[in-house]
Amino acid sequence: MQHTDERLMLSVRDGDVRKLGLLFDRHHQRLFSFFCRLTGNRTVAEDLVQDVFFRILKYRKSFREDSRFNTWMFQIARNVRTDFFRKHPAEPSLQIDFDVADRSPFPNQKLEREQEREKLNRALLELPSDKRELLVLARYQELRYDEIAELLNVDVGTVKVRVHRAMKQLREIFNKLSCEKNKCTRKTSETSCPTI
Amino acid sequence: MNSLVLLALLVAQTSTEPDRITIPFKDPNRPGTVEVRLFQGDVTVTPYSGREVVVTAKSRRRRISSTTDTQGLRRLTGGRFAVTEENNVVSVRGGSLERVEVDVQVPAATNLKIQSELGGKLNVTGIEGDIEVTNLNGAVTLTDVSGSVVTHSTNGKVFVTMKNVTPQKPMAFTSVNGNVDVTLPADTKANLKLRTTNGDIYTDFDVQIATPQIRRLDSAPRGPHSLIDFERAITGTINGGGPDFELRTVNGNLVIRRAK
Amino acid sequence: MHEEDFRNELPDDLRSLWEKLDSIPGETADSAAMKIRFNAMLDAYHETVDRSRRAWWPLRPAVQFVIAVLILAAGVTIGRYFAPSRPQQQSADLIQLRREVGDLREIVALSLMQQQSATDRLRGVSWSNQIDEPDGKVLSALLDTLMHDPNVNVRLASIDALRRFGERQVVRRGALQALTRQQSPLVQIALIDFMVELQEKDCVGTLEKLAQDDHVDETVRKRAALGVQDFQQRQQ
Repeated sequence: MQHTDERLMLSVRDGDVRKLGLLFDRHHQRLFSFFCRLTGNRTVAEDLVQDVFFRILKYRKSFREDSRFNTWMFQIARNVRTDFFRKHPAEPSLQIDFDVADRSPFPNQKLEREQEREKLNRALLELPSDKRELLVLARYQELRYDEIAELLNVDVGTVKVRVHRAMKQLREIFNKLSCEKNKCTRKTSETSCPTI
Repeated sequence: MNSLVLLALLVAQTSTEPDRITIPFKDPNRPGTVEVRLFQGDVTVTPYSGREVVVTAKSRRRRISSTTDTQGLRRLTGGRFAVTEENNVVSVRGGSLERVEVDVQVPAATNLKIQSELGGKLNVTGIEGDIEVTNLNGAVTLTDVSGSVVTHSTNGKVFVTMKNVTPQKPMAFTSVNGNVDVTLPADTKANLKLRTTNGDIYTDFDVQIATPQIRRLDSAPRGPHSLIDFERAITGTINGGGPDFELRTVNGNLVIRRAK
Repeated sequence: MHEEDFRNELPDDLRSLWEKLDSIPGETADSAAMKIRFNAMLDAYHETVDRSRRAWWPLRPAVQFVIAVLILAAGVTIGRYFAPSRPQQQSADLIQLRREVGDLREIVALSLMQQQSATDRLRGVSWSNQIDEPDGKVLSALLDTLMHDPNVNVRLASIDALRRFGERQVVRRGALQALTRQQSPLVQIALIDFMVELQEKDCVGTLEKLAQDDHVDETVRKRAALGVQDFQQRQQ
């Protein structure tokens, strides 16, 4: 018999701490991907996931009957993220295998796609962390507009505007990366820079 | 917030004029701790319905007869106690070469740390908390206490009756020259570590033991003691086992009673 | 899929970029290892912090904080071992993790042995008893407890805990030193018994001195004398 996340969390709040294990099973992978995309580092992502569950345990009393587990968990995840970036302001090392170096002068289609993907990920990681987080939440974490709005404590309209802005900035960075790679100038749109 | 506040210097007057002082806990909503450290004297701790700590001290010294010429002499004797409160811990310290009686009234849920350096009778009744009592010369008597107990008297008997036992907390009841007599609730779960060198062990608990050397309350004979015989702890469990309870004496009996 | 809602809100020129974001694969967590670490955290938390809620005197907030910090600190160390692992590396990583769990127990024991209440320190001593292979830190803490703990019963308990490691030089030395310094008769007797059990011949001189010292409790003197006799008998 499946219990909802909320039901499980309420049990944890009321003393049945072991049930947190079930919530861990359900959500750790998702949180792990989230942190991986945010930090680009698997090891750090693991630590941060554990930190989230530790805080869920520590602050379990603040989970109320009308709380939604998803948003509550991501609120904690965001706090963990904020604390982490405050302590580690330098760019986290890219542990995930990226190779943005120049390849052979005869790229085939597959290679081109790979390169593009790596560039995109790099661009994502160069976005300011709060914008990055927003995109990750919207794009990968399967959260709705209203859930993200609740998380950020703003209205839905603001979320839309912010997503739009973040995507624009992402594109700028992406194009810049492409340019650097091809060592082209950025004067006019008639350059050979691939733009999106 | 952490400053030590010297609330009073308690002076033990003669038994006709006890000195009394009342000290509040910094946070009366949390169980506080009361520490009493005397050089020599009797301490009695009892519960009352208030939220503060009431300390009364009396000296046993008889008045110097008025025919003695005390002119120009400095009085060296007389008990003085420093009473302080810091972060919910009330400390009563002091004492002198003369016997004093210190009565302490506390809220029923209070942790206690009582120590007598030289000796005296240490009595606690009806308190619930982490209770630590150490005596050098004199009996330790804890009646109807609850929570956890760690107690020792070097020369004196240890007599404890517990109403409720906090689960998972280890305890110790020890003496060197004196009997150790402990009464526990019948459903207490514990690993008993029992040891006496010159004495016997009696119990009416159903103890699952390793070596059958425990005598039941209804039997009598003393065991033999060989000259070079370093006994080991006799360990056993009650009600399936739990934290370690150590009962130890050298010259004396151990008695573990089941509360009815 | 909720992300469609976002995609539909974007102007065309950004939409393709959004779609391309799909190409970044997610990373797969090493779930088994993460679960082990999670359980270790849950155990440690449950043991020390949660249980205290039932006691009358809760562990001081300082202890909870220390344990939390240490668990996280230990966690960071554990994390280092989980770089993208290949299948054949996994068991080595798990073994390491199990060792780290033992360390967690050690951290809790060491922390408990520093507490204000004698009951907590007794608990710390009995926790350290459950560590299979305590390292120097734990043995040091136990020896320190033996020499300096203000409560006689805690000192007594530390002797029982050290008994397991009687063959280690540091323990024998420490116990012998304690014998020359301890004043409480109960502890002295337990130490004498310990020395005799260990057959630590270096202690005979100390035992003889104790047996003849007028300031020492009579029961202790008798015990010391018996101890000397025992050593002499065994030599015959």
